[in-house]
Amino acid sequence: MQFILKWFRMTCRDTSPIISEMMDHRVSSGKYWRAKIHLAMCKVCQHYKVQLEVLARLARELGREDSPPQPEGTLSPEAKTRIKNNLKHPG
Amino acid sequence: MPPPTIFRREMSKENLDSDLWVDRYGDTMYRYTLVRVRDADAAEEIVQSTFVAALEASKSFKGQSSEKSWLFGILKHKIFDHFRRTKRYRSFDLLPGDDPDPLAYHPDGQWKQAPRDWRLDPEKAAENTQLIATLNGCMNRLSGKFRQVFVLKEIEGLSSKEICNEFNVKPTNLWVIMHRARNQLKKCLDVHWFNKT
Repeated sequence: MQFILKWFRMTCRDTSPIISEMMDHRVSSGKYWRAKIHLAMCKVCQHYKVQLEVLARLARELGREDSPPQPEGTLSPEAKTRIKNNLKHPG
Repeated sequence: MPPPTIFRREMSKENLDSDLWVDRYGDTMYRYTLVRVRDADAAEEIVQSTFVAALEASKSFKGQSSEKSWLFGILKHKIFDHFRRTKRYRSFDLLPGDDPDPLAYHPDGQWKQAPRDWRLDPEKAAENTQLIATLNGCMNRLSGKFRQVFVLKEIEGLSSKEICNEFNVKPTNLWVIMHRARNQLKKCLDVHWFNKT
């Protein structure tokens, strides 16, 4: 079985970059079907796919205007004073 | 109810209380920027230049959107100006010293360390603020090139074509960078989150 997968470039090593690429744009039908068939047979690569989906979802949340506060994610009092002064006395 | 706006349309530039802007929106805008640019000094500079531009354009604020979305609109432009400036000295070519793929495979093509079931639904994961903070920490461990491409793709939501055209990235390099960046982040979350939970 592994030999056949290797022959058709459908191993986990061949499939993981395609799973990543499929997150970003349409891939060729050859790549699409190779990944699709591999995923149907491989539980581990299914986990990998979900992991990438979790990463994407977390990143989107992190980038929102009202994202949750992060450590070191606030302006220091000094920075605020600096900005306020610069706004009052530009240049 | 939204907070009252700091200025009214008829207010002159001189009458604006820019201190209130900084106190009210400074942290949120800084956080939004820092996630995208990582460098604290650059983030502060971008936030400041946003306020300066907003002061200069204050007469154009028509009150059709909230003050916050108006400021964020300017901020997004400023962040993209920063991205465009950095592309002048940042090459997106893959070099031998770039972060390698941290995942390895057996000669027959199977995973050496098989991805585990994180037992997480992506939507549920997005409600976990500590997990989001851990991802932020992991993103800050990525090299500048990888981090920026990941931000453009997953946070800014640009298409592959837009990234390649706007930032002179070769499509094959984009795919390799995204794959390796995701694998680095996945591995980092494995170590710093899933091994602890």
